Amino acid sequence: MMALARAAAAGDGAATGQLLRAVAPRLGRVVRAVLGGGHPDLDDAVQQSLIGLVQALPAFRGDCEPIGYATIIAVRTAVATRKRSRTDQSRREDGVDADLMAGSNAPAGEEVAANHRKALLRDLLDTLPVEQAEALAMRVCLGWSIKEIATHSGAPLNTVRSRLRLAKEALKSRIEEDADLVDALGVAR
Amino acid sequence: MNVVDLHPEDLLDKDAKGTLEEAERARLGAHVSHCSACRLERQLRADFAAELAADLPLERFAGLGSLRQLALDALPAALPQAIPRVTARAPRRRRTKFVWLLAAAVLLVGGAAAATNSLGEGPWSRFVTRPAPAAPLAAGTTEAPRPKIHRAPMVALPEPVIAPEAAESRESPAPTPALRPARSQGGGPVLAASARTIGPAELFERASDARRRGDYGGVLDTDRELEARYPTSREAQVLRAIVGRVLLDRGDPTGALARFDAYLAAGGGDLTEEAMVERATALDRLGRSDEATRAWTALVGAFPDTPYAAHVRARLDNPNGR
Repeated sequence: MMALARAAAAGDGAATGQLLRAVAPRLGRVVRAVLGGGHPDLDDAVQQSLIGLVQALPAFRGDCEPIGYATIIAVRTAVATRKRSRTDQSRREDGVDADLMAGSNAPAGEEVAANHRKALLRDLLDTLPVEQAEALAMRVCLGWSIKEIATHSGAPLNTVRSRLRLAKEALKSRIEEDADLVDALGVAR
Repeated sequence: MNVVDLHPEDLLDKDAKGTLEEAERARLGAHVSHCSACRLERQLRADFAAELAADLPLERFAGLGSLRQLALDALPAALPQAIPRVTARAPRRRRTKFVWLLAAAVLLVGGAAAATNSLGEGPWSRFVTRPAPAAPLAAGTTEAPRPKIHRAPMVALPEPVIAPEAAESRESPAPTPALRPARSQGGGPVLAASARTIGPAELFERASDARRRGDYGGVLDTDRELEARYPTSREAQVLRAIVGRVLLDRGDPTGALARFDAYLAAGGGDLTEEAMVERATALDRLGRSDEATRAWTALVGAFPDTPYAAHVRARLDNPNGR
């Protein structure tokens, strides 16, 4: 994929097409993870991520994996989409989330709990400062390490730590507002 | 673990990789037993790992079906010479236009590549990199957190929309000027953008578009135009704060300070907290410590619940550790 990305970065239209096809499923999953399956702007956000990738390709130097390069664009687009949607609540269909309706092999109770946790995180992303929201999404949704976040986002390691620390304090506050979640987590008080 | 790193992120990373040693496992367990955030993070990581691993066919997204077709068929074809015109418009996008949007974006790759060399930082900057601060924070200090601002302009500017008529015109052997019916007059077609009055909202979108592309000169030009033509508009006011931040990020704390001062002098708004933070940061970077301290103190006075409160208290408690 690296050769493909380099060719695309050089303006090769065919390579760009192949690259988009290769990364689109991953970008779709990432955007969906951040937005939630029922978000009304999900498709738009995926598309915008791909456009963002195309626009960003000239800056690709090959010093990181193309998929990571594309993923961070998807995260940022998805976070921005969440925040934009929050300013226009009329476009949202709160309470309707395809995740909640989608079939799964997981036991119903576990799935409901997981969806509850994910919904809490996504709501939090709406309210956090964008840098914190992006860092938290990379950390939790993508499972990236501090170093990976720093590498892909271009932020210093300690900056990433600082952003995550603040984001997790906000997360903690949000958890404490949710008695059911506190009980479910079983955290010692 | 130190004061800054209250959550053992490195241990969580090792936990995720399965490389924890016994002592580390015990430390992490002790932390997680009382830290709801870290406990939830571990569960969420597992939740999302399952979601990301789930198969998501490309065709899940209607627009991506078109994308694949475009990618496989359209892109390898010779690129048209005409570059679609980019116009500022209401930020609502339409999925049905996505193919044209993408095609136009692909066409712009070459131009953007050239811009890379000339600007040093191109349209990808919003997505890929963020400008480095002008001066690094002093050792031992942490980055000042961003306040909770829910307004869209600071977190997600309106998106650029590429006029579909320009893309459509590419199919014609002899492209004609992009025309659009004049809604207000209901008469014959008029030139889309050039002949009509550009309002503050459109200028704001133009600035947002420029910012998204990394065209900071364009942002500043539009800011000046907005100030000159609509100085009392809400868009001009919001853009003052945004431009202040752009300038700060670009290493111009003096210019940033002027914009934040202008924003606050005009009565502030939804971005007041953000502007006060950035203003204090600009003063810090200018080495005007006393003024910066007063600015930070004023921030906490105006916004007692600001997430910066701890940062300010630490600063006031230890003025030499700035």
